[in-house]
Amino acid sequence: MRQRIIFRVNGEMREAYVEPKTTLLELIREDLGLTGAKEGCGKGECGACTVILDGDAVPSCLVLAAGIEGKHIITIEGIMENGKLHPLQEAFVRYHASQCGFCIPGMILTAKAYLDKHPNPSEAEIKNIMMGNLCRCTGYEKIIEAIMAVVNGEEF
Amino acid sequence: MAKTTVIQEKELNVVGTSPEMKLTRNKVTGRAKFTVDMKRPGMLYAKVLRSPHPSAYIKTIDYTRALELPGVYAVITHEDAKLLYMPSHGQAREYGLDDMVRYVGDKVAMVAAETEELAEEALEYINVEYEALPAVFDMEEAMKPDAPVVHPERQELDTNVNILEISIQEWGNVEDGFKQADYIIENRFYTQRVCHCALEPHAMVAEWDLEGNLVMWSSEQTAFMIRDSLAEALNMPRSKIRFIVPEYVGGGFGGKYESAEKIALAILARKAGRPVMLKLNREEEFYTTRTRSPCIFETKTGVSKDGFLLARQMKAVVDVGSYAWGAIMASRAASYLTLLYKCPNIKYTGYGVFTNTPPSGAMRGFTSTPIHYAMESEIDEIAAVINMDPLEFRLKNKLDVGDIIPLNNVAVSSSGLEETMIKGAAEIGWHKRNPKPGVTGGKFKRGLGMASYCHYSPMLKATERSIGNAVLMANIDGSFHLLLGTADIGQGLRTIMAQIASEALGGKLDEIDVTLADTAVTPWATTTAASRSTIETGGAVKQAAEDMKQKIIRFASGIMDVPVEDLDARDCRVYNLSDPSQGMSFAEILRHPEVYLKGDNNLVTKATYSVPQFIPPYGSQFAEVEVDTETGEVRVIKIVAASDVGRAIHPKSVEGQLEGGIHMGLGFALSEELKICPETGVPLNPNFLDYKLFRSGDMPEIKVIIVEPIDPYSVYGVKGVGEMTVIATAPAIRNAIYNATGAKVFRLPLTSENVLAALKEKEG
Repeated sequence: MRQRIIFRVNGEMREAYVEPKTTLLELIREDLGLTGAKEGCGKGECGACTVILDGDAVPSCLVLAAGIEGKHIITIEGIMENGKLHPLQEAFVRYHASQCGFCIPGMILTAKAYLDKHPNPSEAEIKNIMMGNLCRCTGYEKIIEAIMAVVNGEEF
Repeated sequence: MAKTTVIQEKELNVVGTSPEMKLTRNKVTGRAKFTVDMKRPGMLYAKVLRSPHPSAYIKTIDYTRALELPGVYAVITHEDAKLLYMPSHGQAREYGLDDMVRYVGDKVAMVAAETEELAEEALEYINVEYEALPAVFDMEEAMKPDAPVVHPERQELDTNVNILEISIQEWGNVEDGFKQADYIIENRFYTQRVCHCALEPHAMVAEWDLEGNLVMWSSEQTAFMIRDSLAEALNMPRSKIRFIVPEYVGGGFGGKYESAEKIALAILARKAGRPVMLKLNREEEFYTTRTRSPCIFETKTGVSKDGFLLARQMKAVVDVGSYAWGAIMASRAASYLTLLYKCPNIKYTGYGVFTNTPPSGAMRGFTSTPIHYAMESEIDEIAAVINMDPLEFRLKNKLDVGDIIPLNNVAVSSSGLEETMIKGAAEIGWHKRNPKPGVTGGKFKRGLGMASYCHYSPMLKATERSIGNAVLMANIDGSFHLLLGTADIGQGLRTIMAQIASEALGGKLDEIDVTLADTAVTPWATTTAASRSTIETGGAVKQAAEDMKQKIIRFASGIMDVPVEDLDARDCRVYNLSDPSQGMSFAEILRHPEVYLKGDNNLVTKATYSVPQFIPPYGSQFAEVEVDTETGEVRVIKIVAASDVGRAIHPKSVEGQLEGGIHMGLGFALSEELKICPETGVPLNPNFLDYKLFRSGDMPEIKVIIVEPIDPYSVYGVKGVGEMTVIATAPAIRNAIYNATGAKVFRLPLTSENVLAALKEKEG
């Protein structure tokens, strides 16, 4: 019953054999060892498993692995460039936006997918696009502050 | 009373700054490995079979067919784990597994299999025959003599067996106080059941060797207290259990230190002969890992017409669910009647009551959050009756520094309460407040409200459990290892402790490595709970670091031929106070032949610190709201949280704690409630769609004000900040709704239904 799929992860071509019900989250965590995506609810309600699929932020627990043939997945492990943190990652560090850190990979990827397409959003827009990502530690204050620092062109 | 420590700090270099948090780069890159990311060779996965009944005896369990599935290694039931319970759970024992179930979701059996999917499938092949029993879901029903019994094994007690504990505490004589009072106000408040909702679900791994040693890794708020409980339950020497809290724990909030699954998992792993991981799913998280107790508070308050509290009486009924950590919630709530305001006559009666509902336990703002809803709403009710500004009333009645706290006859050591009231009021614009409720605005009405608080923590009386331990080890290059038994659950303990060590030692923050919460490696500690770690463990860290500094300075004194009192250390360098250019680095000192050849270079210092007395964290929260008077919908416009934190060791992380507490307080106030079907006991909304946490776009404007009245008794004057702001958010919003509309809401959460009902009641 396993199906062969070919796809790209963080720029690299990969192949995998997946069951029809394997989720993208299971594929990246179990088969590819990319554990930055977390299962917080398994139902697409918390955003901790967010990855970028062909440019859009999606909850990977709701995506079937069999459906990603030919697509490109970006995970939190894949956004550093030349050994340097992505500006959003650096901003989350500088602004103390992470407490326990469990939701943070999803937060950063949701923000990245949006900023890649809309480089100059308002703060209200950012608060709105982050609605799918739950955080229980921070009250979102410093998360929004960190994202807005990147939007406002702060050097990272 | 002698002061044990008088803080006269010279200039602080590291404490009071906000350096980058340790390990945060691993968090933002996905490198951080949480318990659930672990894999042990040969590891199996566990699943729990849970009860569909709220109360039943298990007559038979047959798991033969489950074991026949290829890849299923072991199944355990109450026959494997019946008499094993967590002693820390006190009178309300939760067994490893029992032959009785007491709530929908209670543990019946546990399976270990090669994959999670297979373990899940195996559950379907376990046949259980139940003898269903009548159940009770309402706390007041459960108190009646003929109510269904939640714990029949308690039948030998003479009282109503569903009452876990009755706590009666009295100071002065309330009857006298009521006689003197010009006004007597009586109210009844209800607070609801809510859940911790840490984003990381519980995960744990148990692994045995053939010499009977058990290692467990678990996302936990404490290593030692769980290790100690496991040792008692499994009848093992503590030395044979190694309990490790991994470096990354995804939030706790009180929900990660008493899951009884750990006993069962240890037994399952022993039976399976393989390491086994149990991960709870989100639904299990909601109703099997403890909840905040629903409470009913009946208050009666006597007040003079010039605005002084004369008598306060409260009856609290606390629904402790099917299992409880003890009756602390019912007994400790009394403290709060003594901590904020002066009142000569106080009487408190608290009942902890079992029901066939999810277990209860600690949750951020434990014991303080529900009762402050009643107490601080009551203050506004009183102020309205005597026609006084509620801020003025609070200022008039508040406890000040030096006032004796009736609870333990200790004087208030420091207080920023007044400052939090004044600064908070200025920030929210208190002068704009409606002088009379409900008179301005049309369909949408705006109003301001406030509430003050104090959080009681176990340090109220220094007991043997209010101690911290630290071990500090020097390397010859002048870098250090700090070993501490407490856990970092996301609050930043690792960084805070390194800051304290660095400050007291004259070391470099980056070169202090911190290892936490491993019972085989670190010294004993209590829990990362009750806002205690910075005070308790921080005290020990400071002492161990000061001792280390003195040792290094003594070596330097010999080598440099300068008297000890003329030397100090900073940035891993000892220098001459009269000529700072003269000095030696720690590495030069520790590598110096005089030190090295004597074998003194690998220094170790250790300290045990006992918290001398209660360190009171005070604060005042202010809310501005807008109420839609047609729908009852409440929109919070702004929250101001003025918080007396003693001293902010790392101000940015203090802000983070305060902001996060407001988030949890907003949910408690407005949107969160785990609902239990009153007919069947089934949890109705155990998911993030139906149980509503505040999301980013739901948040109001937040303003955190840090007030620092340095406490003379604690390390660098700090207070515990982890729980503060969750406590008074709900009553501040409730009082703002009253100021906006004149509607008095007594029931949480402040949903449009509850607010609309209060608006209708007001209309008469």
